[in-house]
Amino acid sequence: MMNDAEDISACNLPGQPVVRSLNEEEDTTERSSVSTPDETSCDSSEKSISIQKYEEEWTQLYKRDDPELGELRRRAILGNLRASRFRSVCWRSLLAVFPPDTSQWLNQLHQQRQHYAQVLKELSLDPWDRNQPEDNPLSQQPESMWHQYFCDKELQSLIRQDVVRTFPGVDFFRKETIQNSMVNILFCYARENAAMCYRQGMHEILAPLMFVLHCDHQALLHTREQVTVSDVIAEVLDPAFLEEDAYTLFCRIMGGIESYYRISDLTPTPTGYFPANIQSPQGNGSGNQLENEVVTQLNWIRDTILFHADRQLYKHLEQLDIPLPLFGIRWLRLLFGREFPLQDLLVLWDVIFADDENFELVNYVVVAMLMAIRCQLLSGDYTTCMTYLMRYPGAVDITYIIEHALYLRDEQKRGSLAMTSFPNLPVMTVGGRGNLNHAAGQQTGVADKEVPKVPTKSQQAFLPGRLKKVSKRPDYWLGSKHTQTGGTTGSRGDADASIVDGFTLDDPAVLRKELQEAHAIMYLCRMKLSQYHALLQRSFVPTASAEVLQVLEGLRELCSLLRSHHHLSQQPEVETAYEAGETRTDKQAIMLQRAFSPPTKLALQRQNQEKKNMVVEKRKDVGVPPPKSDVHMKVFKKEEGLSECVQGAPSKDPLGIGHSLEREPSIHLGGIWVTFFSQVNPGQLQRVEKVGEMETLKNGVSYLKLLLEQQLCGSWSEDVH
Amino acid sequence: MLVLVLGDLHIPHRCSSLPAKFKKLLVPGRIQHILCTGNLCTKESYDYLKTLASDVHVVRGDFDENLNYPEQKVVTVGQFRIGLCHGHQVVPWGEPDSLALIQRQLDVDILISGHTHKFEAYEQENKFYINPGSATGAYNPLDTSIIPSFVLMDIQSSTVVTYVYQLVGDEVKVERIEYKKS
Repeated sequence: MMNDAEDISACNLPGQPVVRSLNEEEDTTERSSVSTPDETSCDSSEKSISIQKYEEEWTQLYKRDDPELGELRRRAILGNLRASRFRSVCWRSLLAVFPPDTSQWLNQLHQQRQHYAQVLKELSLDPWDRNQPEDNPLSQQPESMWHQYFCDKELQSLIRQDVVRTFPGVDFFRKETIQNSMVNILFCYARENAAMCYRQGMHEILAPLMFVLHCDHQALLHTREQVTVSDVIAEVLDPAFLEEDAYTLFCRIMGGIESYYRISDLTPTPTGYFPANIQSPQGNGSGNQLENEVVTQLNWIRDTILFHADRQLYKHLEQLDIPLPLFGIRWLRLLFGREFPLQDLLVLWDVIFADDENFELVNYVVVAMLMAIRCQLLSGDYTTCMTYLMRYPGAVDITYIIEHALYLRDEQKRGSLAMTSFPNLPVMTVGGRGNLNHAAGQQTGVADKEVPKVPTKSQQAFLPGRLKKVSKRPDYWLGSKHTQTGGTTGSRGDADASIVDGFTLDDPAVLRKELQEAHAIMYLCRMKLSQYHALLQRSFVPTASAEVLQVLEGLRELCSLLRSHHHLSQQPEVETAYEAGETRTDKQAIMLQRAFSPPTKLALQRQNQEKKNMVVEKRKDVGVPPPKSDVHMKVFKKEEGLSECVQGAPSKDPLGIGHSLEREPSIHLGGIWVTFFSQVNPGQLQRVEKVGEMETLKNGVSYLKLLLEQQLCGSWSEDVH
Repeated sequence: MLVLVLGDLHIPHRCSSLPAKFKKLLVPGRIQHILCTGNLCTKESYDYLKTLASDVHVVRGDFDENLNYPEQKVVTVGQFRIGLCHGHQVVPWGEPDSLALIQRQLDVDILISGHTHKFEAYEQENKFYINPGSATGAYNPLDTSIIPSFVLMDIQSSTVVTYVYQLVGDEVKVERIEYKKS
């Protein structure tokens, strides 16, 4: 990310002079307008700076020879439009409301404004105006103008009901004129797109657009008070055309998200109403299509993105039986309008609009939002989760969500997240892109049939933006996902043999152990890598070439990647029981004694007996490994040799089960020999479990982890100093 | 502004209900005011009118249960003063000269009366007289074959466009009469 930012600022600057000379005519006006403040207001340098910035920003936007808008997109994704005074223009450029060729802007603008004026005129009926002898006010005939008039009135009052409640805290939306404009826009949209009509939520899409346009208008007016701005700016941001411009932009955005609003099998009546009682569809065949598109899409998000991005959260939501549509429909329909404060929302929209013309990023934003509050969700019950989801916490950082969403998207694109072929991908139609969808459908078919096959380069090239690449390894993920219950870890290749030694493989206890084990390995790798890294850094820094530095940087990144983000939920601590009359110290002594001696039959018996006569008394310090000083820790230097290491190990075996575990001989670790016990395999685990020492084992493993950590840190510091 | 004018329903004594075709036309949300010439007879009919528009004005007919309805009433809609009277008090019934007397008494631009169960709408000395007839087609003492009818006034500044709805046979016929205030 940081590198990107530098790149952009670097490539911006040299680009400008070249672009500047493209349009001579504009340049003169530009220059004259810039020169005015210099003459008039030398004292108010601050003002002239802000005006210069205004001009600069416009020049950057208007005089570019960048049809792909790459630079603008990057700026938007980095959140640099936050303070932009041309956000509405940026949006219109990003969404292709304005053509890439800037000289065509004004033409296009005039056309769009005329179009809206025409639509509005056509739609405003006046039944008194024309003489239609056979028409009457009570007519129920569809062709009757009176009938249409009353239907329109009804629809408008329906829209107004919602509009007057938009953003109750913002004064801008309390103005009568603004509300009227919004009603007009929504009404025109509803009539122009009869299949969509007006659905609740559309007004919340429109409101930010109005606001952004208004802000840009105000910025223009403010600037114009001091200098004369170029005609193009004045024309593009003419406050008189707020309604027209908002309509055009609104229609474009609705084109991208209309699938969220559409309900299959339910088309509004010609007068703008959805039938109140859904009549059962003609045939039974379409009965199962009642699930509408937005639900399909949300399920797809859950099964494809969330499933791979955060398995734990996926399972948690599944366990609590919280379906995504419960809150996701609102998230999508309002484009997260209710979830973030307005300023944050605008930044989010910048990114969504800039990223993809079909707003593909939205899917990943949903997952990123879920994962941003995963801790709260995972620790919460149904009610807590629902509270968090229905009223999304405001403290979440929007830039974090954006970056995470982009990351998820990139991962998915690269295929490292997508381990499965996409299931029935929701048909996400965008106005006028039928052929694309056709291609998508075909591609889906191909993907379903030839799952194991990697799509060829040419095939990939045809993939529209919406489609995810087909996985290269459609292996066990597929099976495990569909069965839902079995083998969801997927960490084992032999998922077919689901029973080993009479224990099912997906026994949570076993899985937990495996996870812990994996964590331990990850931890070791990380330590090792960071050691290497530091070593290399020390020796290379004076004579470092760029390549070496890059390698070092790569190593560092690897280290940070390996850091475990998933903290395992701590096992409930073992409650130790005391027998009557037994003192705490006695007990500790026994515990210690037991910990350092192999479990004999007698000891086990005794322990079982103790459990039976349990006296409930909480002890915080049991389960936590003894303080560092209690256990003598020894770092085995290379010279000391293997034999000593093996010799010394059992005595420090904290588990007391050392005899039952095959000890890994040792692992060479950055010049230090470390005995490593944590390779616990399931078979042994089960054996241990039978004896009823599961808790002890768990404590042991966590203790072992700690031990390793200390040992590694200690030895490393020894080495360094 | 749409004003519905109707009366002489005589429900349930002479008719069970409004004709179905009329009921279909009368939907809530279109009509702003209702002027009723009386002889609703029961409260249920009044409640039905209330569902069509919130502003309902009724004068008392000779068969009304509710004795609190006034004999005559004057309502101002837009620029028009509209007088309302059932008409059984006017003798001879429906006689233009007698109605003109009431019109002068009330000093109204439009006088609406009923009781004869026969639709009538005419202009006399630049005043407008409307008799909506019986909306249910209830018989009257002199005639048993009555055409159900009611009137809808569309009042726009100084013009009233009157639509007359009559159920002839099985079809609703609509006529249009314009009246301009001078």
